[in-house]
Amino acid sequence: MKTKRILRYISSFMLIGVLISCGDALEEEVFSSLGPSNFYNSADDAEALLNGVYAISQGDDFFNLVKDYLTLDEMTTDIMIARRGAINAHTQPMEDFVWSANHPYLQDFWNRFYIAIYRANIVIDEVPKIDMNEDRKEQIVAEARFLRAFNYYQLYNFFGPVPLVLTSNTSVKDRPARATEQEMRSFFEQEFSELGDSLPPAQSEYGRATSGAALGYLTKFYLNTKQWPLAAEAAMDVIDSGVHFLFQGERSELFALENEGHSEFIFVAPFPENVQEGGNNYISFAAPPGYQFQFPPKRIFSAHLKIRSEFLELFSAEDERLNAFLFEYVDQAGDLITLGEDDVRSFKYKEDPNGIAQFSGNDFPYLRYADILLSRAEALNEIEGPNEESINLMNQVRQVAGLENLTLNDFSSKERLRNFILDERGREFHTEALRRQDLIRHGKFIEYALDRGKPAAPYQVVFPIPQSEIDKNSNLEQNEGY
Amino acid sequence: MLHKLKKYFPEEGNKCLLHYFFLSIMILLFTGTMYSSSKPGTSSQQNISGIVKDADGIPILGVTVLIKGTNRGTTTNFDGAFSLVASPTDTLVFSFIGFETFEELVGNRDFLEVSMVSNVEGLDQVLVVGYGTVKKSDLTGSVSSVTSKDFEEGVQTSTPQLLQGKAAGVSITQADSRPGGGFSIRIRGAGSITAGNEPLYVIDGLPGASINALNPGDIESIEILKDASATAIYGSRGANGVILVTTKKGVAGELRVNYDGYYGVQEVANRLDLLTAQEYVSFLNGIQEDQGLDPLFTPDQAALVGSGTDWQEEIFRTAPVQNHQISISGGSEKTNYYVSLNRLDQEGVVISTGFKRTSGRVNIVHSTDNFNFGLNLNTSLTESDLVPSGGINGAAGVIPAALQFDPLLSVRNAEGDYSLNQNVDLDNPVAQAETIFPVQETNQTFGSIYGEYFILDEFSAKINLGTDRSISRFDNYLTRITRRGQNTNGSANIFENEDFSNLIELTFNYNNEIGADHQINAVIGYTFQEFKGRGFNAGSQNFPTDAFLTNNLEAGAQSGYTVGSYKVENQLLSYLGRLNYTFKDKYLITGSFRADGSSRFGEDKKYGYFPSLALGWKIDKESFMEGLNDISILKLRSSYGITGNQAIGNYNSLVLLGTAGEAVFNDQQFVGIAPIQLGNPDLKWETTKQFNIGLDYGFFKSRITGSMDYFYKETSDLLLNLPIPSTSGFLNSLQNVGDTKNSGFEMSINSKNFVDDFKWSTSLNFAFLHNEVTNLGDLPFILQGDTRFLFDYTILREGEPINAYFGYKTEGVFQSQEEVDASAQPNANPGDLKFVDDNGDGVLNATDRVILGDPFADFTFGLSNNFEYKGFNLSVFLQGSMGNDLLNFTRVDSENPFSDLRNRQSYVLDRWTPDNPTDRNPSFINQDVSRAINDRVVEDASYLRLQNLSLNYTFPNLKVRAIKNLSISATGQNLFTITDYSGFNPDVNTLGTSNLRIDYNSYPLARIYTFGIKIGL
Repeated sequence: MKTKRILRYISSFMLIGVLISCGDALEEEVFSSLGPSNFYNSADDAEALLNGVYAISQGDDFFNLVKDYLTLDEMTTDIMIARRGAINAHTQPMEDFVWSANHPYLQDFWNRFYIAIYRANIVIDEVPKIDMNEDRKEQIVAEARFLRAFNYYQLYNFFGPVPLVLTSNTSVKDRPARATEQEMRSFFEQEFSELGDSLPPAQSEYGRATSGAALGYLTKFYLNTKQWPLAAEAAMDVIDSGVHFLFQGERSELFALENEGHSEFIFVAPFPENVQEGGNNYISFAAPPGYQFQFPPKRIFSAHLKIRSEFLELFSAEDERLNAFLFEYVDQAGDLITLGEDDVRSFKYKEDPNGIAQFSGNDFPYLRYADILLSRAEALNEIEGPNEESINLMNQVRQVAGLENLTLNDFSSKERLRNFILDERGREFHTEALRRQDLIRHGKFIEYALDRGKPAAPYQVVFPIPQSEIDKNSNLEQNEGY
Repeated sequence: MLHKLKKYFPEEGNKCLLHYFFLSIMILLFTGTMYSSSKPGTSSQQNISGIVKDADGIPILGVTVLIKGTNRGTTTNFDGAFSLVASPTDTLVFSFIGFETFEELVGNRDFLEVSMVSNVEGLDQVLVVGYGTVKKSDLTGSVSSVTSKDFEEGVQTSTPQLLQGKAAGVSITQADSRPGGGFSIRIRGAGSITAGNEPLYVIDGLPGASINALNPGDIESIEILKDASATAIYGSRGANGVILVTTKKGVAGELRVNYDGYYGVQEVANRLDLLTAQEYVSFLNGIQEDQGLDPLFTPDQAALVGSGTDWQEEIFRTAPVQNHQISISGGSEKTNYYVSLNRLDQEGVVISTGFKRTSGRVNIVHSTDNFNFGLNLNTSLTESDLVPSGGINGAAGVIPAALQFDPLLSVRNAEGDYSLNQNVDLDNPVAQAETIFPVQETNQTFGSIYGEYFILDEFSAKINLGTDRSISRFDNYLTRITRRGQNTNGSANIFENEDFSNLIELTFNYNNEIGADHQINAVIGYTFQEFKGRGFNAGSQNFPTDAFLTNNLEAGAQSGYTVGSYKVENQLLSYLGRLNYTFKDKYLITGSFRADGSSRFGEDKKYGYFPSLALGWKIDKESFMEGLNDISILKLRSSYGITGNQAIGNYNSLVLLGTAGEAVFNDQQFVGIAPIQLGNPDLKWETTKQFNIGLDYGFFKSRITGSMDYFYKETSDLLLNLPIPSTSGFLNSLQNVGDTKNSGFEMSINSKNFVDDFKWSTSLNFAFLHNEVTNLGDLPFILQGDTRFLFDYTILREGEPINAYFGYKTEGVFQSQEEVDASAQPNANPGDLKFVDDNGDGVLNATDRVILGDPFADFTFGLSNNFEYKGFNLSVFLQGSMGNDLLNFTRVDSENPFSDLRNRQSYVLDRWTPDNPTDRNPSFINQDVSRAINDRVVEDASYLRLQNLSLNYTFPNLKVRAIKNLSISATGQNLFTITDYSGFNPDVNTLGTSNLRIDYNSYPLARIYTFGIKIGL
């Protein structure tokens, strides 16, 4: 009888438990994030999604951007070296031409580019469904398409053809294979030329993509793939747009903070003003020990980025661009320090008066008008040898640097002009992470490295696909040689 | 009706808790009604009183007196007296730690005098297990019990500390040796890779209660549930083991006041041997000269260098610690109480650090014939004075800065300002300690109330309501005196976090003996627990003055304001049951089951089911054992069961969008939003299957007792943060992928070597452990680790322990250019380290990395010896581990400093030079930083430590009337450590409770000397 009673209690308990159970007890309520169902709705949502794409390639999100690009694009060249500090573990293999597929910067860039591409794909897939101003909607999609192509171009530049993912519908199980060279090329050609039409020539907000940026990258794509006539033509389109001009002041002042936004800058990684954290930290890598900043407090890192003395020999004494370098300084102890062999610093990005600690607001240029001029000059030389227009284009850049004009007579052969343009590009674009692709295009990347005594091999003109990506995706083939 | 009632409790988040509260109340009312209508006849019940004495006729206090087959009973008071209501047919069961359990039929008596016989081992000790208690002799699972008499004397500020070396298979490392710093506990290894590996704490029946808020002086006993039979009843949270903490209760008798206090001094147990000023100068000049460069210091300058500054001396100190506890307890036969107040004030051995805890506790139990009611309430306020810790370069805290700071500088320069070396990116360590003010304050209250109805003598219903609420606030102010403070012109930050959990639990207990042969004990119930967290932070910088600290954020410049906030919730809903059946007091069977629902998992995967089964055989009770008098206990037990783990963050199964960086247009920032998580609707429980076989033994009238266990644990469907191709737009996704296994053998031996006037007892416990990753899905391996700009220093790979250290193997130093030319390192110079080209391809690169060490100890042990003579008691406690390695990043700073101007450990003096062609150390000229993780920095961290040496004197036959007892003690802790490990302390993990284990500028271990006094009034 007792047993019966006990069973009755328990069964009634179970019954009540089942009957009145709180059905949503285990429903997860989210407070500090959003779900897809309540987000892809309004014009504001569309702008916020687009901001997320820009953020990846801009300085606010990626404050090591300058150092990381320079490590891959200039420490592998005749321009820059790095010494001491924690990052030496990652800079030294680049300088020594012994980088491996495990290099963390390669992984970091790969990740960033693909995250940006994924976010761009979200915009391209979701924004068209949003009910909003149609013109703005089209433009948002166009900006996202530009950013997607831009990020693919960065990937292509480092790694060669990569998986071409053009949808936001991705899953854990995706194992995409690399696109062919031809697929990559058609993609860039089509996207950059279409966007050259659909993006506006100028944007009210500095930092956004313009048609000049699309055509500029079309130029660089044709140039680096040695499609000379197309490169010259695309460059002409940028020149003809009449939107961009060379900066006319003292040449090294172009990179002072007050000149940010000058039309010579076609596309940049902007760093915000008055940054609390993040911000361009290049100057803390460049400043030598005990350097007295004009606008303290600023940090000096243990790691130092330095300019190779041999590279400085490319400059003539009257070149205003020499003002971008720090040759000597008075340190905090009051001693005059002269920077010796391979120890000069590039102070191209002028000190930010509002910058604090390692955080400065200097923008980092991805593409400048001077590059378009020199690109056309180079392309025309490749097509027809030394010619007036090439010389004129180059002289435009030299004039603003306070240098005398050159004449056609100065160049007896296509090769001499070609070499001169390469040197001019070095003088103009050092510390802007363009040297590696310029040397590769001119076939000198490996040659120069061998000259510097590095064990360079031809396969090193592309970086290895990050090893962990290969490990995660069996369809991904490693570049030859790695 | 429910819905109407709910209207009065509009708070949304509580709806389910309220729901279950009402549900439970209804059931209780319902059962209550049934009780009143079906209450068994009480006519035959009568008042029984009595007295319990030991063999010498001395009354015993605190003996549990239970009516057999029920949960009803009482305890004896100070005079050994008890009183309860029972019927003549009832049998009373008297049990007490250290005595044989005694049974007596009531009969027609109203007064009983009972004499209990002491049991050397106390096998009839009652152990707390999940949702109930069990006699130790009836235990089928693997449970280690540590009671307050096992606790060491001296400074014991946290619960995990009490367990170090005390229980086989329980490994404890210090997440942080600073006062108030945390511990990490691994019970039987580690099964999870991404999910947590820390055990579940249950304090007085409240699961998940905050162990840091508990004053160890309030603890009566700690039970560590290790095998699945014991832990499966905690299902979802049982896979890492469960630690049950029971606090002290009052006992019937007159009011008793106890004071327990100590005062001690602490000093750094072990300092690093750094270069002195002279050595620093000659070392730097040496490496300059060897590179053909000018010396950094001219002979004149070198001659002027005095003794310089020993920065360890500047930041370390001898620090006092004191602790005072007053407890008041007592009670009548129906009600007993325990109230305590505690104040701990511990200064740290690093300047400007310290920890204070003020805590209070109230435990009340009230029992009538058919109703028990209890309250446990704990509240505490802790305050940690911190200094900047960790970090590298300009952000390096006090300890790393002191170990690397220029020894030529004095603390302050001639102008009285803190010295800095302009060429070194480090802040003056003393300046940091004295002018940066991080403070953490936590205010925490947890407690539970329960009521239990005895519907029948053998059947009760119990409701248990618990809550745990913690509010913690972290304040940090950087004055503009340090470099980093200058950078922001003074900066203030406040982080405030609140964590709440609420529990409701309803259980039915059935406890009966059917005939002489069958004993049944069963529990069934449900629980609902919800967890909420929220927080906000605010920061400000660029202050006109340092005077405000964090108390006037708006005084900073508006452009520097930062804010943030968050809120999270999760819930657990569970049904549980357990049945213990004993046949003829020889054969034991225990089955348990728990169905656990967690909000953290995918839509259709929320519930997990966790059964277990255990068998026990008391061989000593068999007739064939009768002649074998030397064997007093012999019990074989075995169990198998499944437990789970849900120790992951919230919302991992959902697709989430969140803030995703900021775009910059016209130099202004615009917040971006993007999908930040791929979502995994199939996310489910990580499960662990565990087999255990064990033997409990006792020989020579239980002079020697102990147990041994073998276990084998397999964890599958790991909650693994799986790296996925980045082409998906995401780097990781939490997936159920991978398996691990842990197996081991544990043994404990307790021996009473001498038992007469001179008593000597020994206890030894040890454990062997094997940990291994057995499956990682499609991935060949996963590399982890990111410290000091060095990445991927541990590996997850099938057949290796979790997070084995991974890097380059060295084979001496290049002695000549010919040797370099013949090697895989063509860029090397004589004097550089020679690395093993593991795959022999003639190129040294990342593919030549190998396993360098195992973070798990193969063998851990604890050994206590206790000597007692005429009131004196000497206890010696040794503890240690063998076969574990530790990655010493502090040594990386000496091997590969960020700049040559940083100070290093003095072993670098014995460096390779052409005149000193050693293989021990390289030349330390331009070392290859990319191979900084090598076998020179992964060190054997085996150790043996004299953890505690304590001499105690109890005054016999006190003549002072007011004082009932008095004892004094002198204790030394961490007196020595024998180890080859070169850091401050081999049993640390700078990464806290992570499975990734490293030592990087950890807070040093303190050696402590204390004097204590205990007074009973």
